Amino acid sequence: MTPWIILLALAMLALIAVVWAVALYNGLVTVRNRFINAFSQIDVQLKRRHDLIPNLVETTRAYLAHEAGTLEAVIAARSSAVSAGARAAADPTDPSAMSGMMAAEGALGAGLGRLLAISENYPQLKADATCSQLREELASTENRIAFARQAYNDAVMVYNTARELVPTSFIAGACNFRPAMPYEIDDQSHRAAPVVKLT
Amino acid sequence: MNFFSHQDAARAASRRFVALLVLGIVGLLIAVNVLTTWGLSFTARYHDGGSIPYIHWIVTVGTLAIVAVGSWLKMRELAGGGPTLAVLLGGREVLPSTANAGERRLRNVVEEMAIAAGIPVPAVFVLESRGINAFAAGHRLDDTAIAVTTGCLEHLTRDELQAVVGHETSHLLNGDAQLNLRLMGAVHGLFCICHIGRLILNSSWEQNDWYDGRRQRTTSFPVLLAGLAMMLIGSLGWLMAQVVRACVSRQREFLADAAAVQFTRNGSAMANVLKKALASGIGTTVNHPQAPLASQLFFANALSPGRGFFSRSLFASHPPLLERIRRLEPTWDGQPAQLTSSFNGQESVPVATHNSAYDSAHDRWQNGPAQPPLHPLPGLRSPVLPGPEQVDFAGDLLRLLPDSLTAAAGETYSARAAIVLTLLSPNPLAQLTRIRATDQTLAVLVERLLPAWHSVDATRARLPLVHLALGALRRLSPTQRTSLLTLIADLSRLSDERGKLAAHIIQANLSERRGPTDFHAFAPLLGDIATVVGSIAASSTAPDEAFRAGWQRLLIPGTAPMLPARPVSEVLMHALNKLARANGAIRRRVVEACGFTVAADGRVTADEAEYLRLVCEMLGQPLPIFRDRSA
Repeated sequence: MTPWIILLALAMLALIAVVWAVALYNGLVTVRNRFINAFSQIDVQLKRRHDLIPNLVETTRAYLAHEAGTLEAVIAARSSAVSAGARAAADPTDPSAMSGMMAAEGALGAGLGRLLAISENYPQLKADATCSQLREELASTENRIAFARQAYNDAVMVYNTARELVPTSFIAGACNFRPAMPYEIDDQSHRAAPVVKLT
Repeated sequence: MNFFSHQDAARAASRRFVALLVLGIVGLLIAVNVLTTWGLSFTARYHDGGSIPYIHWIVTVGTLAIVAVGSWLKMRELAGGGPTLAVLLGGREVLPSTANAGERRLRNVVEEMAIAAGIPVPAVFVLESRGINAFAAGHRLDDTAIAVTTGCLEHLTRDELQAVVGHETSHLLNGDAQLNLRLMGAVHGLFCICHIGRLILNSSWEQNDWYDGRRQRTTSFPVLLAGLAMMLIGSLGWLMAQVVRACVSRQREFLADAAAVQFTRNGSAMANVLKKALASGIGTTVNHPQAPLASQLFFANALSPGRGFFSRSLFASHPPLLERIRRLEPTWDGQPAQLTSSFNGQESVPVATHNSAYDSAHDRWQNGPAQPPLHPLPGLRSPVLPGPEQVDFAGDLLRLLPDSLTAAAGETYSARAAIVLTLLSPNPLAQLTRIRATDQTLAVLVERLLPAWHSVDATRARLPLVHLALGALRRLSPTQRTSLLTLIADLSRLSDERGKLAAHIIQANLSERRGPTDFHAFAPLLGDIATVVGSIAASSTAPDEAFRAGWQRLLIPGTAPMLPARPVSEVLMHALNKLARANGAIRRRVVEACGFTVAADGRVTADEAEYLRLVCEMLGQPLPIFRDRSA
């Protein structure tokens, strides 16, 4: 009598364990999808920023004839940010692509900061309507990026926690769920980021 | 049969099938117990002293536990909100900022339908697939998603797309996803029993092999028997549950087809979609590994056709296309529709010249006998579905709202500002100060949108804007959500009554949990019902009659109380909060009473309509947008 009751209990436990493991796996996939989706929200805003920059550079070029170096640096930073962004968007779970993207965006932010700081010295440029509109849009985009980044970092934290907690961590390890990378801004580029001034 | 009798018939059929399922589980328990007794009589012959104390209890509870655990796990898998499931099925979200004209059109159609039905705009997804198919998912109206295939975008006209979206919206309004979730859970629970039986059977065979020379027949025989019995009973139960689930699902499809006809002016659009799906080479198949997980959520059969036994009618989750077309068009000649690329890359909406359309829409609101809103509904057992005029009207309204407002409401970042606008009182200085103190950038956004908001008729635009913005606010992260909720609670204290009602609706939609159901009887709520119905009657031309007319619909024995004085907003909010915690039957009755109160004097002004819709949505029963019948 006893052996088959034990067997039955074991079979039941085994089945429940398997189904449970599948449920945990699916839960991980869900939180991973959530942070990937949150990244796409940042991506939308970063693209918007990239689209604004050529216009800004063209408008300022007429006034900043002596600052060609700064302008070229911004253009170069933009194009490397675009390609790094495309690489990260292709696979937001790839840490190297993500850190590349963050570095490139940081450099772009620093370049933009320099450009805006220089343009403070040119009253005519500050008075230019197109230019001030572009700067305004850029500032609003920076706010949107910050907002989307907050949502992304929240989602990353939820995913990373789920990944590290004990029963799930075995599945994460076995099925190669890589840790996600929060989007943090290092101090240096943050200081140099375009000053967000909304009026 | 008209639509409502169709709907009632389909609902009754669904209830019968669910009862059948419960009976099936009871039958399963009886069978398990009988077989245990029988099995024990065998083992008694092989062993001495056969009886085990409480064996029947153990078996019954064990079986139920397996079914429950199996069901729970399956339900957990599917329980995520609509967007979660859509992503799992390979959906790509269509954001309001989409530049693709086909996707733009899809979003417009979904937005119009949601605004007309009075629900938060579902998240919109596209599935990469050539077939014509779609699905709706979500267990609560604030967390829904609608997904269509790229085949739909390519081959369907706007009317046909509207029919598909109408079909899916009907699933959402009817709570079909939730019913399906329960049925899927039951099916999986029964499948677990069958599966355990098979495991036992396998392991006992292995045991025989293992002992090789010395056959241990005496020990393995009862195990074998138990395994075999479990497998048999389990698979019988599983098969039956599958049949029941499929039957319910097919009924729901007919119901949603009927609803789609009601939603859209063009009666043949729905039939055309199905005919196009019949056309060779397209079909309705969706190729995604997870598609079987949600096969019954789809518009038409999403799995590859002809998988033998299970695609036959008894097990099919969807009625055959031919039968669906015949129900919609009894005179159909059997020809599938010609497939032409019906989308020329332009979103062709009736271009409303701003002023004239606005004025005529406005006139229709102001003048003319309004449609008594709830009369045609038998006892309001069903969710109230909008008609084609209301869908058109919602479309007009969306096009007439300033672009800055609709654009803001579509994006998570600025949707916070759009939703804050709906809470502002006519003199919002104190509220604006409060926003500035909390979040400087948000305050700037709000102030920028303020002129646009003042340029529209807040009475008409408030709820549509709330529903638009709620769609985008779904993407807030938990911390962002919490800080927005804090701000809204703060602002609503300074709002007028409409703003307070809107704030409550927003809070209910944004917070993770529903409040508990505390009231199951009318008795403790009578005073609160009188307050709410009385506040609606107050705007009538004949408040006393209106109040009595509404009260009658509650079907409470005894005489109606006197019309209470117009309550201050705190008292009203308290009463509404209490009513929101009543069970569904009571809330539906109250909503119906409110509807009859408004309609008692034969006219519904835009102001009354908004108030009624706010109150009803707070009670968890969204009402479609109002439009007078004479239009």
